[in-house]
Amino acid sequence: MKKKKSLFTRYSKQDKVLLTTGYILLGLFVVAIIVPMIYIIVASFMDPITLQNKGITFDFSKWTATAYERVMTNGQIWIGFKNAIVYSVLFTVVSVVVTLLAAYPLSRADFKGKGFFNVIFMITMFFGGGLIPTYLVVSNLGLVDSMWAVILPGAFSVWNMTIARTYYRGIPQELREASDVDGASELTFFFKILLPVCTPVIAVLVLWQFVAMWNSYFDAMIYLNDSAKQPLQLVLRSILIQNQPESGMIADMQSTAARAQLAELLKYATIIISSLPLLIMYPFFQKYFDSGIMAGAVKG
Amino acid sequence: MKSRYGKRIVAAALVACMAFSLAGCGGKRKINDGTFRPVDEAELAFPLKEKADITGMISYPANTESEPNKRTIFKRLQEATNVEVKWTAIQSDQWADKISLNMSDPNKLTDFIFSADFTDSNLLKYAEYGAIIPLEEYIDAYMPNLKSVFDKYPEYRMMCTDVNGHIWALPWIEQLGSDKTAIQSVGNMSFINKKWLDFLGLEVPKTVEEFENVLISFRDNAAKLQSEFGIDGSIIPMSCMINKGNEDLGILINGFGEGYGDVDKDVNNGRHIVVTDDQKVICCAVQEGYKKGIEWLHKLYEEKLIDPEAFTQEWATYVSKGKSGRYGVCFSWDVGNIDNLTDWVPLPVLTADTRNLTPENGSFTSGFNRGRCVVTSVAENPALICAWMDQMYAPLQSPQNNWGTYGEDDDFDIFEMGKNADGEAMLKHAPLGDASPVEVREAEAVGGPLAILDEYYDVYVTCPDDAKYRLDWIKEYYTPDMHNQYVYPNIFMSRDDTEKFSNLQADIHKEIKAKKADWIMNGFTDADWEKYLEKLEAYGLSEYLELFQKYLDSYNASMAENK
Repeated sequence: MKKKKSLFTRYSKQDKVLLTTGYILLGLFVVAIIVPMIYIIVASFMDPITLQNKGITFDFSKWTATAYERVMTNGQIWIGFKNAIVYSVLFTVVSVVVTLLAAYPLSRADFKGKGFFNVIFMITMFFGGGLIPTYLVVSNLGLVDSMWAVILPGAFSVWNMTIARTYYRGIPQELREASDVDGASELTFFFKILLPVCTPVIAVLVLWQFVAMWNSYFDAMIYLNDSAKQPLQLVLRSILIQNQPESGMIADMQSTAARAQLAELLKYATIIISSLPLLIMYPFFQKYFDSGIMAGAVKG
Repeated sequence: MKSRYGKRIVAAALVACMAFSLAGCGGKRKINDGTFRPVDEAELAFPLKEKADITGMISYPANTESEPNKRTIFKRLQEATNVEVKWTAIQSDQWADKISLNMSDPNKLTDFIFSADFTDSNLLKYAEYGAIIPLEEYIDAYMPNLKSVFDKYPEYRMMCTDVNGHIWALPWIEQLGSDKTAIQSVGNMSFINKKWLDFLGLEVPKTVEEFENVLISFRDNAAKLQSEFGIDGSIIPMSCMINKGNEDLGILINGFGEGYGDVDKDVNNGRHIVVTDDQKVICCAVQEGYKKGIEWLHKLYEEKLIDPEAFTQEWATYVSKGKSGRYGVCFSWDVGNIDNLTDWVPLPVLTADTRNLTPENGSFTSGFNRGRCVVTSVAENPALICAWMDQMYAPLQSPQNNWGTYGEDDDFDIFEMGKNADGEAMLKHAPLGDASPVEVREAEAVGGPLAILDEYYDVYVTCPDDAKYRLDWIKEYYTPDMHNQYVYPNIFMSRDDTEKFSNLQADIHKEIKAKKADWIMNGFTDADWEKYLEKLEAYGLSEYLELFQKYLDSYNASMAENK
């Protein structure tokens, strides 16, 4: 503390103003992110009626774990959890492998037909087949109602490929020349030399793809019929949607309304449970975002 | 965004693959062009001598049995008919997204779609594409149960028939009352807190002035009410969800002007039309009475009698506040959803310039869904499918498909098999104990095409309790004040007109909704009103009303013909 203070006094007046403003802005930014998170955590422990009428309270006698009990005892959620992990891991592996492999040739200046492939890839960034034609293709390939329908069609991402390609290009040419001199083949260079220095970009791709698959529900909804194959987000969606009462439905409106309350109750708990794995993942990925990975690779 | 592009690439590559693979699969499914395929009736006598397989698509509620053939109703049907249905079952919350995909894929298409629930425009679109086939000849030949419903109520046949005389879908009919006592005749019911009235020594108001005074005394006695009933949160004299159909407060202003009020105001499909006693279609939201009514509502808002959240709140918020007992007046299909049934009474129609209640359009024929079930063009033997489907219209079968069944092995059943006054079989609603009715119902019912008529009650089935008390409310509080002779019937427009209607309605409905909310909150001047009328006219209001008039006239003409 003392040391910091002395550091701070060393700054000029101008610097101090600048620094303080910086801290204030960053502080506000952090608050903007932290406050909704705290709200959701507290709200997940509260009865929805109290929540709607009084807002959040730190009076612990009013807290309840009913929402978590309901979520934990819902078998479908656990099936969804398992599926989401399987799909996300598989999708990440397939996607990152495909992306890295596709990016390599396109990063090489001496690769013939690079322009052609680039154009082909670029086209898909601007035009798509549309929902129904894409569905028909997947259906004709016999993928409907199999997990590959969720994993394969979206596995290759042009955007991610571009990122990987740009990163490859940033690797000094000398590495390639040096391995050529030592008689390394393209494959040896790619796997033994290039990939190890590319861990930051790989980590980024893994994280992106994992999160994207974890949060997605649309493809699963379109292509999967079997409820035992549904990923978590789809299960959560049906919990929230099926409990919206249809106005004008004759019988049992009252219990539908009661279930709408249940959906309200479960809402925050499910948000927490579904984002927990991602929250746990982030710190582990932190260490891959080091800048020093290239240190010592090229000398002179 | 990014992964979507990737998907497209692969899709493009796969298209190329498909072009090659398609050449390989020559055996495309035969398409039925919709010409009538007669079958010897003896072949359709159930149970069939030889087991037949047909394919169907059905929706099921999430967290219930996903294999339809494991449902008791279908098990019994299979035994009775010797027809096995191979189902494609889709969870109901995903139905809307998936059914359009499945309709576009001939390889996935099934012989029939049990719970299609197509809108008019989808129905006519699929008819035009040739994806579904017309059924009128099959109905006359092989569907005696449905035919007898149509013969008894020719209006249902008319409602099913398009302008070219084709019936594209088998309907869902659920009569709960009819004409001015139909359960649908008042959707947007108003309720008043009787507990508060009694505590403050007030009467249920009969006129708009009395009503306003009651709200004022709710407002002024807020502290007293709060401490007497131990209410968390502030007292809200009146809450609603403006423009949300049944939760809107439109019913209050029905007495202003000539008494056409504010009806047909569903948040998505509101049409704002009324039929006068001389059979003219008019727009209720441009009447003098509507204008005076909105002025009055603005006054209430100024006096802080309306919940300030009424313009923005969602269902969950609305109910949460209701469940804490904070409302004096609220609006809903059934007050049981908002608070409870004991403290509340329906608020009868309020007298202003006149005393009248305009029933909801289409309500006189009670519950009706035109596009419930379709037979598709891949059906090899439509006669068999129609004959099988006709079983759903049997008087003892329909209530089961709609609500649930009897005699299952598990804990609770919706019905028990009993006897009616003549000693014949009758389904009686069974006590459910502490099971939630909607869950038992969802676990047992199958939906689909069916017909439950008023004359079935107490002969084949008992009326469900929650429908019964609501029917009693309508009879007691509302029917005596319905002085309009007609409502706009449930008509089936042509495809062009459906499109024209939805284009016109989009602007008109939006303008009416926006101005209503704005004016209740901020008030308006005569100049604003004139501008509003001009704007609606510019959006094509007269053309819109002419369109409705045309169909009303032809409906009346063919009704007269039938009688």
